[in-house]
Amino acid sequence: MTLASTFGAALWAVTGLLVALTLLTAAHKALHAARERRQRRIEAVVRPALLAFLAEDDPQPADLDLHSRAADHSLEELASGLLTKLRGEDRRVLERLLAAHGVLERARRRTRRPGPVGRARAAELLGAAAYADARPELERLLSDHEPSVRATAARALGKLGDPAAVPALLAALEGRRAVPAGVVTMGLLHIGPAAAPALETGLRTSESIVVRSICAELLGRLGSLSAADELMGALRADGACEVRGAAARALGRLGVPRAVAPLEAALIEEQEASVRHATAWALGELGDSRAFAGLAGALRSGEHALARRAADALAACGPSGMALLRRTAASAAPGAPEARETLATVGASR
Amino acid sequence: MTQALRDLISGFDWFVLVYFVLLNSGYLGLIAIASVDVSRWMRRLGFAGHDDIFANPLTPGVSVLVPAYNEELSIVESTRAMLALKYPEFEVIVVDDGSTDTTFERMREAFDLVEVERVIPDDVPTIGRVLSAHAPASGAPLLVVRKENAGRRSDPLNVGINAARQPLVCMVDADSLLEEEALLRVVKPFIDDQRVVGTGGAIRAANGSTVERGRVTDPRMPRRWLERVQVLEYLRSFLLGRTGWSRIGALLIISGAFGVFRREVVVEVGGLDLQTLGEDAELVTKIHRLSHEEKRGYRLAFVAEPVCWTEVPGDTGVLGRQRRRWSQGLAEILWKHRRMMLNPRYGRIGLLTLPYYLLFEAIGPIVELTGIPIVILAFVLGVANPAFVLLFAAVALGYGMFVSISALAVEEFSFRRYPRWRDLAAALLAAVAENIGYRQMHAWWRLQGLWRFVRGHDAGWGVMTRTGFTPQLADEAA
Repeated sequence: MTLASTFGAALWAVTGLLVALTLLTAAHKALHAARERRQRRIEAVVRPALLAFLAEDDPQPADLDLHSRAADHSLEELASGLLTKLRGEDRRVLERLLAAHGVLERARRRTRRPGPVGRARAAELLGAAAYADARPELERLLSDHEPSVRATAARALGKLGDPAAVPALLAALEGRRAVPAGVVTMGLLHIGPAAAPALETGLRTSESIVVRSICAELLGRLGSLSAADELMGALRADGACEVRGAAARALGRLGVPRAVAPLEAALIEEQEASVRHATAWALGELGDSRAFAGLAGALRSGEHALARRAADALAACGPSGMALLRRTAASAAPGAPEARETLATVGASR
Repeated sequence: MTQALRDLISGFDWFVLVYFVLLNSGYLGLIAIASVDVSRWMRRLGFAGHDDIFANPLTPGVSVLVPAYNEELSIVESTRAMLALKYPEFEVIVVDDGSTDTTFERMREAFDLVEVERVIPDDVPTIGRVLSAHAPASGAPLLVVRKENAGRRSDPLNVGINAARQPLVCMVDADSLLEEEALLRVVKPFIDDQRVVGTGGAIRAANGSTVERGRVTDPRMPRRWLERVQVLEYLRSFLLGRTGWSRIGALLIISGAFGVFRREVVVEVGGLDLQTLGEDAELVTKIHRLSHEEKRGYRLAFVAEPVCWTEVPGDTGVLGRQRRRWSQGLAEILWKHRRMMLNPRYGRIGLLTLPYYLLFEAIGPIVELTGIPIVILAFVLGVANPAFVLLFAAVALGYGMFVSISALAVEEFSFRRYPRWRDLAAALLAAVAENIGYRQMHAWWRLQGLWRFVRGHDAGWGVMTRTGFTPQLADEAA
């Protein structure tokens, strides 16, 4: 082969590739458009049938037979999508419909599919339907090799609302196949106050800093007043600043008056800035003038972020706090700008 | 002509040919990597858990920072869009960098702004003095900071970083329109992986699209060819190119038009450089440098679908100014961080990304602009035969078109943002037109930018003529 023919072949190859790729792109666009049109046609039949079924007085799943596999599939997709949007009786009817059509049992089996997308979709559906029988499958998926499957399983477990899933969710925070903390916390929040006893145990016994700090944070978010002593103990003695900070925030949210003293002590003695910030914020939530001295010191600390929180907390402490803010604002002392900002904000909100 | 000169020309011709093969193969490789990543991402979108991120009270808050200089046409519309973002906790901080038009007056009127006390610490250095801070009387999470003009974009951003009170800061251009879920999606990597310190979102050109209430409701290809070519360029280089770099853990550029960072890390590296033009890429380079030097586990990620729409220049004058700035900025970064180049201590950034940007982005225009005339000269002088010229055309132009059409194919197979057939046809034609004329003009602007770097030219903010995002104007453009 001569040099010229080699070059010519290269040119033809590039041209051929250009044409082939252009045709492929156009063909894909045409196919996709055709698929969408077909889907819309099917949905135009299925959607009214599903809505009419939901509007019936005593809907029986067997009544809804669309006599076509494509329509059945579309029905499942529509019903699954509606699950997250409906509440009350309509939702229960949908769950019964999906169960009657065998969709939920199929989803349980699909949690063993080789493809991760299939497993994740199955987990998503089981969670949306709050299908309690699927807890073992979802717990198994918490250690799936694919991160998105693990995350979907954690969210789904939370939606089951079963406190028995809390230990598995907490365990999923650690290890080589950990689930992101943000995902697990939302799962635990979905379970609600029923998760509190297991969270208290986690705060008390876990060796993991992540687990203890999340337990502390969530006990505050879930309003678990019975955990106040445990949280005060963690604020005082836990070796990890993340846990002490989370405990401080939780105590602030719980609004327990007896937490004022340990919080003020932490504000004064704590070495870690993030914990001091958390305690100042928590004292602001409590709005108790007993913490006046500690907050006054924090206001004058010269550290902007801490002074800002302390100023806000002092404003919540009533007349004595406001008086101190006014005195500081009028001076050139550290904390004066923060005091002025808080006074302006409080004034504007009144 | 002496044989030595003929050999020299012939040798250079082959060098340019190989250069174009490597350049286009590099792009194609990145697009191939990105296509796998994008396809994987799209298939998982249905169960990504964005609703949970929105509902979760522990989702980290975001301060959206908007530097504005003479943005009277688009600032109100884009601020409205930002305030309507779907995200659990965020604030929008617009920093008016001493605008000489009615930017502030328009904001004051639209949002009923009142002057407020706001302590702005000096966590990162700034130049222009802060004059005042303003917030809406309604209590909406908006802060407008007025400051003296400092002649560079990095200064208002640093003021914004100082004023920010959330753990994440999102830098957005004043002419950018974020999609409703953009923040949720671009923050997700921070939630999924604690090591993530920064993420960038995709930027697309809004020219020609219909904009309603600060949202792009009907994406279309622009009517002007210059804008169409940029649509393609943004798709190939900014969307798929960066997705590819992110996938191999070597992302160097997170655009200042839409990037999110951990505030503490930005403060630690001293904020945005006040002297460099490419302050956004410089920030990322500094983060890479610090993280490698301190042996920290960290990650910078690019997310292909949280879209930020921006108005791209519609005439060659404005586009030329923009590209000269980009080229000068890149050269400044490569020079400033030359110690990282080919240094194994900096991992893939030092061994792969920086050399790539030096060879194919910074020096690229020199090779492109000298290579094509010399090949033509060689043909005229009889040094290169017609077969070589054909091969050169196939590699430099045909391969370039193939790369652009590959990017379009990925768009069509995954995002499908442009549903109309005529948009696809226009994009395909733009892929051809881009390589004949536009690419050479672009190389010329980049060369000018390089020259400005060599001369130490200070370019400042740069004047960008905009038409704004009012629906009428967008329709007219369409």
